[in-house]
Amino acid sequence: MSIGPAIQPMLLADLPHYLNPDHGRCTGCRLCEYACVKQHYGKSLNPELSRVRVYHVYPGPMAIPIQCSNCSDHPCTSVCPVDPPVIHYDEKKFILKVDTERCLGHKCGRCAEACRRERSSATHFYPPDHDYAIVCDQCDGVGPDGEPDPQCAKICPTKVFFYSAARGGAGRRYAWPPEKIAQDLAENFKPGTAARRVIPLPPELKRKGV
Amino acid sequence: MVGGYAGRYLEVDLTQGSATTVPTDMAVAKSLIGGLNYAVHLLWQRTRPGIDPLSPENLLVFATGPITGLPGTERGSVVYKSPLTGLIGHAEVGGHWCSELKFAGYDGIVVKGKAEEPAYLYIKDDAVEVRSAAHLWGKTTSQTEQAVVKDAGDPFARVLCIGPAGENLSREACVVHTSWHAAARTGSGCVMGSKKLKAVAIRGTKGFPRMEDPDKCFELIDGVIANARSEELMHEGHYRLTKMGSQASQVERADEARGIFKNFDEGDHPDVVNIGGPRQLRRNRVRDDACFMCPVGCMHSSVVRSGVFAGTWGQPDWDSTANLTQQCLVLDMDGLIYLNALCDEYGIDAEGVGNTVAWAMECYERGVLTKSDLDGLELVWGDVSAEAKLIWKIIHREGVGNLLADGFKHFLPRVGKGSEKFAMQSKGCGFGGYQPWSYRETYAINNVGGHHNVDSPRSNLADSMTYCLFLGALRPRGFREGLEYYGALFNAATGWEFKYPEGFDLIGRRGVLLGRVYNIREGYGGVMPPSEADVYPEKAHSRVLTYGTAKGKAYPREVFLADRANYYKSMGCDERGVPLRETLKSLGLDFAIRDLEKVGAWDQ
Repeated sequence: MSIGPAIQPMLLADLPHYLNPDHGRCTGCRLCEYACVKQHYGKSLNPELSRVRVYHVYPGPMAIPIQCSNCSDHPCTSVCPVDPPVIHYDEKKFILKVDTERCLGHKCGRCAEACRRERSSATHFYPPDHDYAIVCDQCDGVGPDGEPDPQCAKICPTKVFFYSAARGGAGRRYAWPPEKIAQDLAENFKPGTAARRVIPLPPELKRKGV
Repeated sequence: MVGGYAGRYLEVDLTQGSATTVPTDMAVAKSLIGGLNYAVHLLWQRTRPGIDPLSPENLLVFATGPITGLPGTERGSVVYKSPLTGLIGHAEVGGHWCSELKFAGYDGIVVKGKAEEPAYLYIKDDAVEVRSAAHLWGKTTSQTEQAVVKDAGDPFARVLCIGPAGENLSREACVVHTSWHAAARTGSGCVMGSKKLKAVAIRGTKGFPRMEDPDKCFELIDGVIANARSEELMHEGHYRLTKMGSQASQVERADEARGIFKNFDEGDHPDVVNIGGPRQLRRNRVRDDACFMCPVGCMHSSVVRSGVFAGTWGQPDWDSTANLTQQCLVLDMDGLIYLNALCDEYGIDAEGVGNTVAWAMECYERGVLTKSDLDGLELVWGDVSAEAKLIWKIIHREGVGNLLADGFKHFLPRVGKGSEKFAMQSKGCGFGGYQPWSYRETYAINNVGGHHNVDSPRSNLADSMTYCLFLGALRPRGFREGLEYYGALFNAATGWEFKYPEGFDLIGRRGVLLGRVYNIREGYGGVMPPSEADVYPEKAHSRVLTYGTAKGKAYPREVFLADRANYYKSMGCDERGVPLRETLKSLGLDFAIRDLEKVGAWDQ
C-alpha cells in the first residue's frame, strides 16, 4: 500500500524570506560591507559600493547595520519615473531588483527620497563611478545548495544577520531608521539610558546645576 | 604611485584658512614607511628647533601608513611637539577615522598655524573647508560629533575632535573619535586646542588606493577573517579579547604581580576582582565594539545600572582605567565606568590624569598637599567622588586644577617638597598600568615619556605601517608572529620586497632613533644628556612589593642601569644615550648629524 508521494524537503528560498539583522549583536566592524563589495564588484575595497551600511548613531554611539528590509509595500518602487519601473519587487526571489542599465541615477534619486521620507532612509545609494541605485539583493536570493546565501551573513563574526519575521508584525514589514533602532536598544540596556547618553558630571556638581 | 599609498598629504594653514595638497615623498616613505615615522620626519624637516609646543609654529600631523584602510589595520598617528614633555608627542587612534582619511585620498593631514576664531575642518574627498566652530566650542566630544555630523548632513562623516579639556589647554588633553577612541597620550588635544581647531571631519568615497597584488592581499585578509572564531585560537587566548577585551588585564596583571595599586605601592590586591573583566562582562557590558573591518571586537561598552552613576555609559579598557582605578585604589566597577566616561567625554588622557590624581592622593596622605591646597577636597585613597571632582578641576583649569593641568614636568618643580620622588612619570609623561619591574627599562627610555609600548622597533613598525597588535593573534597558519603577516600584506600592497624580519627591523630601529635624535635636537626636554632624563623616580627603585604574588618584587637601580646600558648598546647609542655617528650613518639618518653637532650632543 502506498502512503502517497515522498515529501519534498522545503527550501527557505522557496518561501518569502527576509534578511534581518539582530542589531544588538553588531560590533560595527563593517566586515559585512567588505563581503558585500567583494561579492558584487570583485577585488576592490570601497565601502561606498556596499548595499549594507553600518550606521554609527547616538545614543551610544551604537553600530546599526541597515540593508533593504523588503517593506511589504515597498514604497520605493511606486515612485520610479521610468516605465516599466527600474526598481521592482521580484515575487519569486522575494528581493528588490534594479535594472542598472535603465536607472537614471542620482539626478533622479526618487526611490532613495521615498525611502528617506517614509522609511529607514538607509537602503538606496548612488555610489561614485556607478550611477545607479544599489539596493540589497540578498546576493540574488539563492546560493549553491538552493538556500539563500548572503555574503554579509556568512562573514559576520558575531552572527548578526539571520532570517526571521520582521518588525511591523506578520505580513507587514517596514524598514526602521537607525536612530529609532538605537533608541530601542538603549532602553533595553537600562530604562532611561537613551535619553541620558553620558554627559557625566561629578554627582555633587550636578546637583548644584554647574 | 606605489600601491597602498594615496600619494598626497593635505596641508592646512589655519592662519590663512587655506588648504593645499603636497605629494607624499616616496623616498622618505621607502625608508620610513609612513604613519608615525613619516610624521616625525615631517616634524623634523618643517619645524625649527626649540619651538614652543603651543605656538602656531608647531605642526599637528595626522598620518596613516600604506596598509591603513585594509581590514584590521585601522590605526593612525597624531604627531606634534608635545606640550606635556617638550619632546616628540605621539598618540595613536583607531576607530573608523583613519580609513576614511585614506578613502578620501590622503595619506595624512598637516595642520599648521592657528585659527583666530574656533574652527573645524570638513573634508569631503577633494573639497576641503575650514568652517566656524563657534557653535561647537564648549561641547563635549560626543555632542561635538553629533553636531558635526548633523551639519554635514551625512551620517557617514567621521569626526575626530577635542573636548573642553583641549579647549582649556589642559596639557593632558586628548583627541577623541566616536566617544571612546582616543589618541590620548602626551597632550594631542592641547595642541589642537592651541590651534583653535575643534574637530576634523572626513568623508571619503574613493575607496582604498590601488594595490600592487590584490589577489595576494585579499587572500591574506580572508585568512585572518576566517580565523575570527577559530576554536583553536579561542583556546590560545583570543576568547579573552573578544569577550572581555583589555579589561581582562585588571585581574590578570594583578595575578602576575604587575598591578599598580596605591600609586605603585603594591602589585597585587585582594579586592581587584571587583573591577575585573569577567565582572564587567556579566554586570555592565551591553554591547561590543570594533574598529574598521576588525573581526576581533575588543571593546565592550558598559552601562552603570544603579547608584549615583546610574545611566552612565562608557567603554572602559585596561590602559586607561588602570591608572584611574588601581593606582588611586578605586576598586569599584561603577566608579571605573564613570571616571572613564568622564575622561572620554571631556577629552582628557585617562592614563595621564589618573597618574596625576594618584600622585596628589599620595601627597595628601604625606601632608605635602593640604586640604586648603586642594580647594577643600579630601583626597583620600579610593574616593571616587573626590577623584572625579579633581579631574573636573583639571579639565576646566579651576583652582588647584590650573596647577595640575600643566603636567608633571611643569608642576613638580612648583610643588617641590620631595614630591618628585613618588611622581610615577618619566620626562613628564605618567607611567601606564604595569609595574616597572615587569617592563624593565621601557618607561624610562621611551621617546614620548613613560609609555609601556611605543619604543621597541616592533611597535614602531605597527605605528608606521599601520596595524593593530591585537589582530596579529589571528594570523593564518604559517606566520610566526603578527609582523610577519602584516609584512606580507605590506609587501603585497606596495610591491616592495622587504625581508622579514631583518628588513623590517632595520626600519623599526631607524624610526626609534629618529624619535631620539628629534628629542636631542629639542634639548631633551631641558635635561641633557639623555641619560639624565631616561630615569625612573626614586619610588620605582626603593619600593619592594609586599602582597600576594608580588611579594618581594622590586626593580633596584643597579639592575635598571644595566638594562638601560644594554638598550643603549643594542640601539647603537653611547653610554649617555646619544646615538653614535656611525649608527646614524649606517641607518641613513646622516641628515641629523649636523643638527646634533650644533646642539653639542657629542660634546662631553
